[in-house]
Amino acid sequence: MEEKKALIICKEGLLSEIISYTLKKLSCTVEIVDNPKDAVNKAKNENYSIIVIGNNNGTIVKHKLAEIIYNKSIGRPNIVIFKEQGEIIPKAHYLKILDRPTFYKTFIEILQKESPTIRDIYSSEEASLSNFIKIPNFKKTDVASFFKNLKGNIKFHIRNEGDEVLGFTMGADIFILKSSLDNIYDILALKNTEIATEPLSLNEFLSLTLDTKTFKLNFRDFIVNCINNINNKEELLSMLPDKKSMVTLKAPVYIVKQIDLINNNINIEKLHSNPNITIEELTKEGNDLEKVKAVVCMYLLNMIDIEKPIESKKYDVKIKKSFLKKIIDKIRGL
Amino acid sequence: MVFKIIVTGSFNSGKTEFIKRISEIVPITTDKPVTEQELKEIKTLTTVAMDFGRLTVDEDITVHLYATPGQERFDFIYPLLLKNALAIIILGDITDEKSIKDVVKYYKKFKSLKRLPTVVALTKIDLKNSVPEDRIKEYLSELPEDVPILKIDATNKEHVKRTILTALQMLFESDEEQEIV
Repeated sequence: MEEKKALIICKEGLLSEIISYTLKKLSCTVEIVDNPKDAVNKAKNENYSIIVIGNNNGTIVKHKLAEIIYNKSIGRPNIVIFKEQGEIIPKAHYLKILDRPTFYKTFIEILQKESPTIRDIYSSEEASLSNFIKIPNFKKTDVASFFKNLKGNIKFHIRNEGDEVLGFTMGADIFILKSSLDNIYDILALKNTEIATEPLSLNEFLSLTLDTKTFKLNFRDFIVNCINNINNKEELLSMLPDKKSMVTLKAPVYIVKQIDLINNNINIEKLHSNPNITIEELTKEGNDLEKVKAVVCMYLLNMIDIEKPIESKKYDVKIKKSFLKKIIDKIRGL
Repeated sequence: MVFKIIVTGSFNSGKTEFIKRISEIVPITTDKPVTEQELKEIKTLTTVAMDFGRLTVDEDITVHLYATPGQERFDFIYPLLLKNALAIIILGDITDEKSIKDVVKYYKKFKSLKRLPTVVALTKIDLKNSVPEDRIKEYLSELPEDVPILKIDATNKEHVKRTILTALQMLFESDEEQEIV
């Protein structure tokens, strides 16, 4: 087998050695570093075939580190991330995500049964999360509706028969503390969910143990990524009200234009000047996937008002009832 | 968002006065001095294309008021005019038999273009030489029963408001109507 170069970025000595041994057996020459800075420097100068990212001494999240390394590398390395339980790693074409190997810990436990000094950080985290929502008043709620109505500083626990996600919002950001999903951006596809929420106080937020592996993202970007992850038109359309409903842009045009998914697929100026347009018209009768995504995005981010028009069999008039009521009230008051 | 209310009717039926009553701007008129002596005795100015008034409801909603003579030479413009229209008010001069007869003509014309809530308002109720009631009934007998016929003074703001509100209320209520099987 031709010799290839491998780089391991990991602060866990034993795990680094195990991976190094495996790679050497696969005809790689292996280098190990324990921090992102050294890793980036090495990647700039060496053409690695594979780079493995585990827990390290850096503060940057693993997928971000992977992105930086990939972009700065002189080659185009395959990057493997060792994912922790509950850690969220977005997909990328150069990434391979593996569960962090823990088998060796079992060996350690067997060999050091008498030693209480080996802490199982996972179980301690799990324990603290089990009490994350003090009064878990679960209600059957659709995930899309939940996100549409989600405000800042709220803790949430989403679960169904097979999956669960724990997280919270703080300001404009969403944090995910625990997720059983391989890809957190699949969250909108969860069915039959029940969700419990609770306000998050600033004191509680400050007392939370957040580290580099905590998933954190601007809520707007999170929703865009979730929607981009769905390629089933029917599934997307099911998140919207009736397709005959009329759409009115309520967010400022410049804000809406900041989101490429919307800006590239919807004529925002036209939408702004024509509040009489329906979902059906905006999405080309639901046939244009990207347009459907854009409308769902605007809807979930509350950038548009959607209202069912007056459904008169008698007249050829299209107007929102709320608009008509305003006109009637205005004339009454003249 | 701009919506429209269309006011139509024969010559001298009070269209310009009607929109003047509720327009927040001085209506932009296309009135032109009447040239023929006989007509001059009736009124000195007449609308040759259309009058325009405006009513701002809020920052998002504006109602444009168009008064149009409904003459055939303007037929090309009606489909455009009726876009986003909410209602049609057809005026007839209660003192003028021809004007009342024309109401049905205008009703049919606009109905063929678009189904809109329509209210007929017979104007000039302040004058004494009104056409007798039985003849009014006869002339308007072709109108469907669900077209309200009001008698108003087009220079009276409350009358004008009532006329428009009647039409808009028809639209508002049409959403809740159920078909009786």
